[in-house]
Amino acid sequence: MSNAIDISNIKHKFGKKKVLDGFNLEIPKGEAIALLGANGSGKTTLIQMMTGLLKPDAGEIKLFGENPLDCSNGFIPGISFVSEKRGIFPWMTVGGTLKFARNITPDWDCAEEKKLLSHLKLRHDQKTRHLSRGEHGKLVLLMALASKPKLLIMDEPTEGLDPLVKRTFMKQLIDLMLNEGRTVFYSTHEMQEAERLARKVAILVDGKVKVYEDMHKLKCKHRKIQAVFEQDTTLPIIPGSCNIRRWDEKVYMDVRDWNEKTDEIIQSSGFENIEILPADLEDVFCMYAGEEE
Amino acid sequence: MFLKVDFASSTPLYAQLKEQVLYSIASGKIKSGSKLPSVREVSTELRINPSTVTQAYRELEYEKIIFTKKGQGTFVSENSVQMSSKEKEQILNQVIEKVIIKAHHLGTNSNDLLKLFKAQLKKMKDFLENGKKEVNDE
Repeated sequence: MSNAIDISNIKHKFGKKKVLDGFNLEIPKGEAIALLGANGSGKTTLIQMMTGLLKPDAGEIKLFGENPLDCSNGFIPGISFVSEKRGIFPWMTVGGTLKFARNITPDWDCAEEKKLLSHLKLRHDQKTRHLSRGEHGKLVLLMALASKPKLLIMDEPTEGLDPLVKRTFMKQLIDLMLNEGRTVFYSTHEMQEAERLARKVAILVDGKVKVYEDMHKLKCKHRKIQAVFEQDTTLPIIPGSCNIRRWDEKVYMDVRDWNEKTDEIIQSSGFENIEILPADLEDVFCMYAGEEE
Repeated sequence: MFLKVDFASSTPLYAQLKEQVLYSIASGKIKSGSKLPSVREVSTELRINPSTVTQAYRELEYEKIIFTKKGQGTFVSENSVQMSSKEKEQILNQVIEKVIIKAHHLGTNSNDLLKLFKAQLKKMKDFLENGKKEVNDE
């Protein structure tokens, strides 16, 4: 079993809405994957299924070859989860919370806990209800990293955090990834952060994984075009083009699956002043997630 | 650190790092035999995935531009890179293109631009021959 995560033909409905509509996803060990998708695209649902909190209508998920639903004690060794609500109770202190987590996490590493506590500038005597949002985020991260997980699964870990805490988060994550073979799978809306940390990107659209690609290949395969074309005339069809906007004689468009052929077509279709610009991850994301049916 | 990443570029991050190491060696910014920053240092400082740095270093090592001494770090090979004339041209053309665009916007014609260019060349030549000081004054 060489994959950290195996998702096969997973399906789930909330009422009549197909949140997950049958897709497969294999994530090899040692990868760092960002799961992108518009609000309501099913990212959190998918991650809840990985934690074993939600049973899919059909299909299954395996983490290191084990189905989280089949684990009687709810625990697969080497896996940590980060989600906003995880195991923090308002009547406890930071120390109490950590003690509690230590007792229910067999892989817990006390030396790592101490190191993280000082790096993240948290104190044992702080009451959890007095923590700021950033400190709260750090505490959740600390609990996830203290077991030096082989697989870290996170649901929008940096949502609502300030740039300083985000940097701290990235540093800790990089520290984890410097150990060989660690797998990180996380959902996010932070595109630049994903560009920094992830090596692969999965984009969820309409309940399916529409894109699953290496980050660098993804960026090579997409472009933004600016050009001039005669006003009020029909535009020639450019393969892969989407999101076309026209302002007087100017034309702006995005192009998927960019290659030399596309370039030739654009150059020979009557466009003038053609500018071909690179697309960043946010542009690429919008080319898929923003698509109207 | 001499390495940086540009997220607006369509060049993959690992390729950007690779190019910069090559450029820095060829331009003499880092000397042969000197030590490169560690994967830990680069990934932490630039806040990028360590595998991206590893990929760049691995390819450079494969091309014998750099080498790893166990437990000591990564070093630039002796007599490693001589930039090809094509690469040199590429770098210079990028700079020249910027100058031409600027001249166009300022309404400077080609003849005047060439005159300026020649004057600067002469100034540089004088400097190299006579050690005159005013080269960077303008």
